Formats: sequence, structure tokens, C-alpha cells
Amino acid sequence: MRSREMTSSDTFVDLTKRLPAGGSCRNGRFARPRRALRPWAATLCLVILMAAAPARGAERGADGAESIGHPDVYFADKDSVSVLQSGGPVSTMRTCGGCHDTEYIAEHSYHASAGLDEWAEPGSTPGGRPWDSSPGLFGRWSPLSYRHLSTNADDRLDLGTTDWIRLIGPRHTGGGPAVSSRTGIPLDRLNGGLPGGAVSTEWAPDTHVLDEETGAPVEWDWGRSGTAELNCFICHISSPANEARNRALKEGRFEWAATAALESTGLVKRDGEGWKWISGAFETGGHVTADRLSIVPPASEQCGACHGIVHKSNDPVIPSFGDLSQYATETKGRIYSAQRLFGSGMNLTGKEGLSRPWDIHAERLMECSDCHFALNDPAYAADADISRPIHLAFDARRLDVGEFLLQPNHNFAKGHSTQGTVADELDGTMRRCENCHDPGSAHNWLPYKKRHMDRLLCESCHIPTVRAPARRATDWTVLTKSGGPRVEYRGVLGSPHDPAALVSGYGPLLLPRMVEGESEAKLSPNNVIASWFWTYGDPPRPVRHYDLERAFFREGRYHPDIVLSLDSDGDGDIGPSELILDTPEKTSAVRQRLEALGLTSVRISGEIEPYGLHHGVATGPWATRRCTDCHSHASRISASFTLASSVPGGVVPVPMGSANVLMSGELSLEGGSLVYRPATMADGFYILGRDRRRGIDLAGMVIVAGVLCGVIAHAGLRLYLSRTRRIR
Amino acid sequence: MTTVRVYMYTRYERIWHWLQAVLILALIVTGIEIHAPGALRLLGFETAVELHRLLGFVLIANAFLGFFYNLTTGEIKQYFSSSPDYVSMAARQAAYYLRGMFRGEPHPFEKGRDKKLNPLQKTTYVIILNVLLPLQVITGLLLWGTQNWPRFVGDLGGLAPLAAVHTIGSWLFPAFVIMHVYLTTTGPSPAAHIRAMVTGWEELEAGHTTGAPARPEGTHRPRGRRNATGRRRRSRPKERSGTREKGTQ
Repeated sequence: MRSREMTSSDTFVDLTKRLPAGGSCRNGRFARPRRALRPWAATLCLVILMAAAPARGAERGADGAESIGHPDVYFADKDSVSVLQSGGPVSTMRTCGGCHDTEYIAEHSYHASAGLDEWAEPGSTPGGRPWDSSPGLFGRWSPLSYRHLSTNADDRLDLGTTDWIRLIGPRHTGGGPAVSSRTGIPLDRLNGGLPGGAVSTEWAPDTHVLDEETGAPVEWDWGRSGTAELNCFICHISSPANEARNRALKEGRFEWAATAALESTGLVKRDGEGWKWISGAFETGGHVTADRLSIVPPASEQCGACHGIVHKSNDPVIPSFGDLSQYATETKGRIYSAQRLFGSGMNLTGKEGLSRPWDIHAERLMECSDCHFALNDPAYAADADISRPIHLAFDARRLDVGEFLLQPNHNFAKGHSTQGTVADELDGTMRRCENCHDPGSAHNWLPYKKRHMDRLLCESCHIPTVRAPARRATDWTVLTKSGGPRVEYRGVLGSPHDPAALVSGYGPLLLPRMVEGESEAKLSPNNVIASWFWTYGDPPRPVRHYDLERAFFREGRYHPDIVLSLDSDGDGDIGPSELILDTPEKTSAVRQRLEALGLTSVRISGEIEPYGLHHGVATGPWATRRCTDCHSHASRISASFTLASSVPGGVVPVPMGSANVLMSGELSLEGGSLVYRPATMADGFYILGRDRRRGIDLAGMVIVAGVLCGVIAHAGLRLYLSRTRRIR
Repeated sequence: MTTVRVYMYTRYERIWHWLQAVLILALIVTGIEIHAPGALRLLGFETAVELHRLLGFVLIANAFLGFFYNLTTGEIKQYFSSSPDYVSMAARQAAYYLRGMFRGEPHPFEKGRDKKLNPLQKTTYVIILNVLLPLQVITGLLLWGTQNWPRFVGDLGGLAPLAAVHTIGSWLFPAFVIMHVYLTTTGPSPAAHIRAMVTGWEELEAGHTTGAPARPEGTHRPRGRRNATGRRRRSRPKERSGTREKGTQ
């Protein structure tokens, strides 16, 4: 009966409940073993286990990780020839494609397409910027990585597809825009393998790269670089050589990227400018054993390679910042680890008392794929609305394992991301807290339980504090000496790069989040990052990093005009505290430098982007529990949230339209800092103990005071007259 | 001056009144702690919320019982007047409070068992019991019930307008209580009215009472007084309405 009350997305098959303990299943019927056979059966099992022990040990891969019994793999190049024979790079589409439908996998993976399948004219993506061409990594500009993926609508080439792979490729699985042009033509057929290096006056974003020295578009030789196929190895072998892969991508040797990822397996080694297969590591016929490859189900570490720190070792957690390859750690302070906070290598405030893990789900050995599973994985059996006939409350049909392994859907279940906009049609397919937990039974202590559940995401209370620093502001209106932006972090006193810096963490900003299908918004925890940058032209485009460098630097040093305007203390250098456009004169000086490069309508733009927090979950004792944490004048819901220590150019940033949270609060300057003060009342929230209408209270006080004064005057007059009469 | 003792308030009326008084005061206190937890820290927010909710339901029950009592005993008629001069009567009463009282003028209206309330009291109580109390009850119920009827509450504009109305009512109640308590001191003695609401018996000036007893009766002693033999009565007499001449002054 209970399942009838659940929504379709809630219906998961719990196989563990099917078999009572101590029994076995035969011919679909449960049968208990005979009592008399138990001693014999136990002895037999012991013997089998002992005999099997060495065999299990043999199933471990080269790095000791447990293998999954995968058959040997024939390593083929793009022509299906053994790599031992051709010496060429391995083709995952051919190698893995020998058994799996890799075409299907590549087509059903938003990690691969990265928005290419949602490509649109610049400015036409919902809630996007005027220069955004897709909602994904390929086409949606980020103020963190800054470089703009150029389109045919741009007059200056910034980031062509080649440079996108070199810059963003380390956070991309390969496939999608790394093998196919925006018009669907394979990239390696775009120029027919023309020799690279020829300077062209005409350019196209798929075929040209920006020469960092001259700023001229240079045609790229796709025939030489090859393309970066969907790299199965980075997720499906236990320890891929990710750094080697990233190096190959940065060098523009895209075709070798998948091969480079195998350096850790001993199958291949770097040989000068290329890679050389080690024939001794292969079986006969060019096959490789699964143990050698150490093929494993994708673990959280693989996700963490791009999404943020996943820490499973006993070493203290020490995150590095300023590194966008740890994206969620940088933007949210997310650390997925079972390690107790007091074991961290960071100098956390009150560290000795922080006995909770970084994330309770990590402590309970949950992997990312437990919630973000393949949508057609029969083990998880998500009964999505899109596949379930409307007349069925539960669709019992499932793919069998063979079918799934042939065509595993690599569109992973996802939630309603605040900052992520790719594959929105899959929003809400993942498991939410309430799909596994029964909040009703665990929150009987909570007054107005249903109301709290209706208006709060579980994370709002169960992520009371993020204990790691996170980015607060990115200021591209100036360049540091290293050519990067001025960056601010929250949750740390001093620089997050300093191991001695005191890390206080931060309390998330609770913002109302609108979720499709729900009638009311729910408060959700967020970090918010403010960004400022120069734009030019109409329609606007972000000023290229190349142009910014030309404006700010000359011969490796700050340009004299920049020094003249920004060097406040007159020491001939621009220190960190001087590197900010806090006066109209400084802003004007930089603008003039940019206009001198031929840019028109140069202005500073600013935006605010919320980043939803869903990890770093704490258990009940660490969660927000006291009523007055929210229901008081000092409510955390209304607590002001500092966005930046300054406002470059005096430009007040605007919230991104693509975020699914409401930001109806007020932005104000407090002591020079830009502060956001939530106004949840305007968004339909009324927090008892915090929200009140001052006019009503004022009128009420006047009425009560008036009555009191009237009574006192009346009583006083009565007393006075009474005494007067008595005297008379 | 001759005074008569009139059995003005029945036991139920007195219990109802004092229960209502306690409830309203407790609701005001807990309400302040909920509305502005920083201004009053007596019970703690959570306890205040729970108690406020509990007291609210007791208040509702008491209000309904009072309404039922007034309806079935006919006491409800005390709250209404069919006199065409009602407005001028209310004006006379107001003039008495503002001027006549200071000049030692007699009360403009006779009080009695069947005429407990002067015109201003009638107006005030009708507003309190038929407008303010229901408004508080309804808005309070909706504030409590929003978790069960979120759509309905949403259609009404959400919690904010409901809470605003509830807050307005919450301010009017203390204003009423202050006025109400003060006016109890305007009897023959400052404590006469309060004593009457405790004992049920009220001393009124002879010739300034009106209305026949609900049930004709002879003299009888108020509860707890000594009897002719000087002993305390062990069992409480059945309360009855009536008047008793006390003596002359």
C-alpha cells in the first residue's frame, strides 16, 4: 500500500528485502536449509571458502583493487587493428566497443555531450548570458574559468574548440565536442588533415586556435592531433593516470589522451614525444587481462577527479584551492570523505571537538553512483516517469544485466542543480534524501514537522556549516601578476593556500528554491560567488583574456599606465591591496587601456551565481536543531551574507537568471563590503520569531500605551478628586 | 446608603471568566515570546510555541462552551439591546466615564441580575467575543494548520497576512485587558467588581438595581460565610440567583 503513496521516482526495488536471512531461493521459492544438514553445509562452505581465498586474491588488479571478473580486452586502434601492431593510440570506441555499444553510450551521456546537443544561437539559452551558446560546459561561459567559447557570431576568436579541449578537457570525459563539430561533422574531417600552423585571416571556432603570442587565429591540424574520444578508462579503471591524460590534452595530443590514462597500468609508457606500448604486458593476440587493467565499477574517486575532493585514505584532508579541477571544492568547499573533521590537515576552528565526518554518506561507504546511477541500471531500477506507462503505479519490467551492459545509459540520475543547467530534462531523476530516509519517523521531536519538511530541504538543517573554505568572489576587472583574477574566499582567515590559516568554514546562505512540480519554494543551502569582468561590444562579449593581458602587461610587467593609476603607495609596484578598481579614475584607466585595443562599449559587468550545497551532510546531533537558530531576530535564515570585500567599478552584480533559487533580498554596502541580506518574506516565507511587520507592532504599541496612559490619567484624576472631596 | 447583595455571576460564569482571563494572559505572554523571542525569554521558543498552541485550543473550547451556556440559558440576551436609544445610552455611559464619574454623579444605568452590562460594555463584549476572539481563533488555527492546508493558506496570501492580522488582534487584547481591569475599579469600591467575579455576589446601591431575580428566593448566604451559629457551612449550597438586602450606611 505504501508504494501507492509514493511517486514514480520513488519506486526502487529493494532486493535485500526479498530473502529472509538464513534461507535460499530455489525455483523462485524460498526454502530453509534442513537442520540436519547444517553442520555438513557449514564445513563444506568453510572448505570452499578456504580454497577460494587464493583465487580471490588473484582477482585483484595491478594496484590491488578488486576486479569485477571482466573478460580480457582486445586493445584496438581506431582502425580496429591491435595497438601492438599499429603502435597507435588506443581507441576506446573500438576497444570497449567490441562488446559495449559505445556509440549508444556516447550519445547518452551529458558528461560527454557537455551541452553540444543543446547548442543554440548565442543569447538564446534560458536564463543564460548574451554570449552563452548552450547550458553545458561546452558553450556556457563561466566566470571562474573565464575563457569564452567563441562562436561564428563573435568578431574576435577567444576559445576555439581546440583550446576548449586543452583548457576544459581535463574536466571533460571526451567524446561530444571533443570529437564532433557543432554542426555534427567529425572534427578530424574538418580540414582534411591540412598541415597546421598556417595563419588565416578568416577563422572558424572549430578549426582555429588563438595564437597566444600574436593573437592571430591559427588553423588547427585535427588530422595530426586526432580527437579525444569518450575516455572510458578515467572512470572504469581503478587508478587512471589522470595527470598524464591531462598533459596529453594540454599538449594537443588528443588522440593519445585515452592511452596516456593507461600509464598507471604498465601497458604503455611515455617515450619522448609519444607513447610506447609495452608488449610484455599484453596477452597473446593483443589482449589485456581485466586484472592488468583493474577494471572496477566507477567509484567516487573517479567522479572526484573532476567534481571535487573525494578522500578515502587515512592521510589528513588537505584541499588545494584555486584549482578548478576540484570544482565543487573550490566553489562550495565540498569534501566527500569519511574522515573526521578533527583529522583534517586544515587549521579548523575548534578542531578538537569536531568529531563528525566530512560527509555522513561517505562514512557509510556510499559511492556517488548510489544516488547518481545510470538511469537504466536494473540494480537501481529507477522507475522514471518518462518510461513508465501512465496507468502503472510501478513498472516491474527491467533490463536484464546483459542488455544493460550492452547499452548502459550514461545519463546519470541528477537532482535539481542550482548552478548546473545541462540536461535539465533529467532533473529530479536521482534519489533524494526522502527516497532512502524516513524523515517522518526521525523527526518526531520537531514541532510542526510537516511544515518544516514542506518548506525546507533536508540539507538546510543537515548542512549547518561548511567546514572548508570556498570561493566568494572572482574579480576579472584586474589581473594579478600571474595573469589570473583577484579571488576572495569565505570561511578562512587569510589565504586558503596558507596551511596555517584559520579555517572557520561558513554558514550557507539559505535561499528559496523553486522545484518544478512543487507548489511552494523550499529553503536550500547555497554558497554564492560574485564575479566582475569587463565586457565589450553590442551584443556584449567578455573581454578576451588575451586582450586583458595586453592591457595590463608589457614585457611581463604591469603596463606603466596601469601602475600609474593603481599604485597608490607610489612604490612602483601594484600590491594585492592596490589591485582593485575602487575609484572611477582607476576604472577609467583600465577602460582606456582596453579601448586602445580597439574594443568598444567597454564596461564592467557583475553577476552573482548561487551554488547549491548537497554534500557535507551531518547527522542529527550536528544538524541545526535549536528553534531559535532560525526563529529569532538573529535567525540564520536572515543572516547577512558577505559577497565580496569590495565592489569593482561600483558595479552592483545581478543574480544569474538560470539559477533555480530566488534572490529577492537586498544588496547593500556595509563597511565597503557587498552584503546580501535575504528577504524570504517577500518570497512567501514567514518565519515566526523573526518576521514581523514593524508598522503593526508600532501601531499596537501606540494603542496599548495610549490605553495605559488614558487609564493612568483617568485613575489619577479620580484619586485627586476623591481626596479633594474628602478634604472639603 | 442602602446596598443590596445580588448574586450576579453563577459559578460557571465565574469559572468561565477566570479561565478565559488566565488563557488570554498566558496567550499574550507566550505570544510575545513567539513573536519576539529576544524581547521575552521566559519559557523558550519551543515551549512557548507548544504552550501557545495548547492554550489556543483550550481557549477555543472554553469560548464554545461559553457560547453554548449563554445560548441555552438565555444569557446571550444580556449582550444585545433592542432599545432604539442604544446609541444615546452609550453616549450617556461614555459621558459618565469621562465627566460624571469625576463629579460624583450616579451611574446612568441600573445594574441587576438581568442587566449586567451597560451599553458600552455590551458593545465592547460583542466586538471582543464576536469579532476579535473569532479573528484570533481563525487566524491562529490557520497559522497552526498551514502544514495541513498549505494550499488554502496560500490562497489566502500565505502566512504573512495571517500573522499580520493575528498580531493586530494580539495587540488589541492587552489594550482591552488593561481597560477591562481598570474599569473593574469603578464599582462601589475598587475591588467590588473583582470580588463579585470571585464570589458571584455583588453589592449594588439599593434602588439602583434592576430586574427581577431569575428565580424568586429568600435570603441566603453566599458561599463560605458563617451561618447563624457561627460555623462554617460544610457543604456548599446550591447557588441561586437572587438579591439580599445587606443593611444601611
